[in-house]
Amino acid sequence: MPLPACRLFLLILALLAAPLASGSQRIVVVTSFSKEITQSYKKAFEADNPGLRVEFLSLPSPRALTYILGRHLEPRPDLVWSSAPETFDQLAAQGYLQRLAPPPGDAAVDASAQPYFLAQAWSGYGIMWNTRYFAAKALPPPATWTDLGQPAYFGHLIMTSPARSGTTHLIVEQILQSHGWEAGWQLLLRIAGNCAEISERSFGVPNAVGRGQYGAGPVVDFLALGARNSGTPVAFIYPPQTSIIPANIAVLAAAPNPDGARRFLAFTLSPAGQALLNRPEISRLPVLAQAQNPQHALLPHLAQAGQRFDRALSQHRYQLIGVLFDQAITFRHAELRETTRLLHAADRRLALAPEPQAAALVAEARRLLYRPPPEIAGADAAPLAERQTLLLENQVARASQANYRQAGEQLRRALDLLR
Amino acid sequence: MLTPAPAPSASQTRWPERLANGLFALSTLVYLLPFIVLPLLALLVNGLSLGGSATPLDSLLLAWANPTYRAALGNSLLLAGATAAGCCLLALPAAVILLRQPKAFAAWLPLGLLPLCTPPFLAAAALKGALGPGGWAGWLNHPAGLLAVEVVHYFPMLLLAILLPLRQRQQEIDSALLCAPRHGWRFLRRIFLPLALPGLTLGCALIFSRVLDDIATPLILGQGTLLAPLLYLRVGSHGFADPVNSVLALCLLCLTLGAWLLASRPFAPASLFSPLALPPADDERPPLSPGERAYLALLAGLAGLPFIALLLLSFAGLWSFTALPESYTLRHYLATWQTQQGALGNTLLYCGLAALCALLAALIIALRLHSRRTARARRLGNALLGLVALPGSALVIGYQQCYAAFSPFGGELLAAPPWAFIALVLSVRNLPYAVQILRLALANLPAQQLEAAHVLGQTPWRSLVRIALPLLAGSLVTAFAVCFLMAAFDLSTALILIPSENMAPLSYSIYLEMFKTSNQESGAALAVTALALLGLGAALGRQALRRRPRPVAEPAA
Repeated sequence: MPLPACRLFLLILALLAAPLASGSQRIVVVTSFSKEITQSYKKAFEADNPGLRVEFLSLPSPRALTYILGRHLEPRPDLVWSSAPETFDQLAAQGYLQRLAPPPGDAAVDASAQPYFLAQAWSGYGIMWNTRYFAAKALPPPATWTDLGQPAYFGHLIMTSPARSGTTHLIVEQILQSHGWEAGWQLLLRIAGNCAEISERSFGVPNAVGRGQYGAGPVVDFLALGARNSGTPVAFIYPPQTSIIPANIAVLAAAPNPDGARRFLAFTLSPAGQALLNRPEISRLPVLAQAQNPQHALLPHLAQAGQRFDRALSQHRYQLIGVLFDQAITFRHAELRETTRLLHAADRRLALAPEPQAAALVAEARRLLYRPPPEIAGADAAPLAERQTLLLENQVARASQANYRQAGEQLRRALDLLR
Repeated sequence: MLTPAPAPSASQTRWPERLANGLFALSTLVYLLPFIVLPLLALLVNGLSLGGSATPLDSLLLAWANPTYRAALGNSLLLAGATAAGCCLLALPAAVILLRQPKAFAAWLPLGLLPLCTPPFLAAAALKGALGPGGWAGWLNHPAGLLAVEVVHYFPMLLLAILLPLRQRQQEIDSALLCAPRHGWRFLRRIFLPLALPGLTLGCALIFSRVLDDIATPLILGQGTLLAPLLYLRVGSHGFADPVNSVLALCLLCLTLGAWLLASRPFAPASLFSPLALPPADDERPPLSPGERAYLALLAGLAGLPFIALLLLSFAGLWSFTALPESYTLRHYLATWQTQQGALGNTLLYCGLAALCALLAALIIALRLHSRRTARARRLGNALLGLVALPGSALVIGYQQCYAAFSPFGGELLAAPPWAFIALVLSVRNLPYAVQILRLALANLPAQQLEAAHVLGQTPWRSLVRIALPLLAGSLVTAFAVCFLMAAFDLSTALILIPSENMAPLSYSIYLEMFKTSNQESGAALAVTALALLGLGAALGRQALRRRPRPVAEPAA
């Protein structure tokens, strides 16, 4: 074998062997958090605990749940750390979590959750907008979820699907619980119709708003505050109906490395671990009172923590909300957006020159466009079987397709009358 | 067959027969059974609801009843077909120009190779990232935008697929050009199209299957109603066992295999992988006309556009609602250096292992196919080439279903050494590239030297080590590099198979970095770093091969 080629191969082999040789113990954490958070914790924890190595499986909360429940291949996780309380409720109910000792000091926040998972940071949900974009397009700053349904915001919004983002799921669930099923879905359809894009990724919303691709979107507070504190021209508001819900952390019953997992959990709740949340690029509110930054925007709202949110109901319909949203909105977004555009146009013309026949057509179109999907029964109802879910999906997809098409036809006729 | 291989001599066919047979059986067994046959069977059983209590075809009918999946099927076919057609439109004129200009073609090569080793989502993310703050993102967030990005990404690959096989026959083409019209319809019909057709169909089939299997690009551009993205989204929300997932995966499989079978009619598959012959320095040909130059420059600009956007993004400081960044910084590169060394190491481990596995298996298979040139061996070779077309996303669903279903192993069969499993999975679809490269190299081995060695009493093993391997070294390194790059940028497999950043091949690290942080710029910096390292590696490899002492290929006249 010629020498240079031989050397090349030996070099490649040596490089390949190097990572195998480092034999430290690993801790695998399933998380929905951004790399800013995971990297800070990884660095600080590994510096404190030589010989332990933290690995993160970056999965949005809904995927984290399917991953833990249905995964058969490596890597097996040790901990779950995410914003969505339903993930923890479901895992605890099915016996996937280890019992934990109560947290030290004043961090105990959610007695019902113990002893399976512990609150690690507070999260509030709200609306983030790009101040430059709003100034350039002369848009009024939104104050409530309902504002996002206004025609003024058409084409300026972005959001993601509750099937892909635990935080968006919480926002959607809050809207449904605070407005009721019917009015809640109508509002969701209005907001989604105003969206220029339904992003596939949770981080797509803060990214796009921060960069000024779109004007505004619903997000969890720390993504907006972190961007603002890093100098991006964005603003954030907690709407009046918002709920404040802790992000939790738990050790899995089948953790391959339970000792390491407990040490990581203890670290995230320790004063040093809690203080990391105050970094400007993270900007989360710690649960440990002594570590809380008095300037944090969420602090004045903390008294409402856990209010106005029915966790049992949310857990019961956790997957179905995502399924309904996807079938009615995500996968039919082009039609929904186009019909919404026609509706706004017809409304504008009707305001200028009222015409009863056109008004009737527009009213019918509005009813069709904003018709909510069938209501999911309460928390005590039996869960749907797989086949039933598929049938429901098909039913919603067909109904939405027909509704949007019919509404579009009515609106075109109305616009013809108004021309 | 475009590259006629020398007829096998008696000494060449006498490799240690039994060992070769055993190794061949083992390697095909290791690869084909657990990584292709069983997963596909699992998909078939679940997708057609053949096992269990459900009525047969139940899931298929359920999926068909949903307008979203019907639309996805149509959209996927349309997008993949339109991309192939768009690539043809851009690449064919360029191929006509470059056919007569081997030097200009050599200059084109690096650009043509880039799409092979970068994932298309990078182009989408870079373009959207760079155009978004200026308010242009809406242009891309559209089916036409998606089509444009796919065409811009893939047309250089088609150009390569057309021209690479022809480079072998440059002399024939030159003499044909001397006595036949150089322009016009007759030139196209009589000379160009017959020559280009094999590469064209193969390239189109490859592009068609790649676009069908693309998950990330449509999702970045907001076009989720396609088969592969829906499959990925459903895995996230419904898990691997979901019956509709199996139906979608089966659809992907059928479409890609169908395209492959259609394309495999008019061509000889080995032709894509001909070794490169650079033009001689004293090559004298008429220079390019200004029009031709302008067209080539336009294409180079188009192909380079995403990379310019990527570079801009990687240096951007504050960039919000302005056409260009307000400030520039090296911060993202520093962050990449600090946090991504592990990712680069992991890529080296998993993809290096994957490439080694593929190379070893490919060597065994290629030797076997070379020593037995029967019709059966040729069919096997062509079937192996079809593995390139298998959609990675569908295969991974098959793995999950297959190994979850094997209760005797408790799903643990492949869990024990995750790195080995990941490496093998990443290597499966790259195996055919390595096999083809090595088959071609074996076909070009000088039979006289092996014969002479045999006459002089050398054992087959010694002639392998002393003569064949040195001559094959270049092809071995090429095959390794190709497999390594393919594995490193195989996002469709990684997205579904590997959720851990610590196990991620490079493309997935870039994807995570771009979309799991609030600033995409660090992902762009990582991508630029990776491309720079890639360029460095390619330059070093070329240098090493150039310095290699060259055995005399032909006896002196």
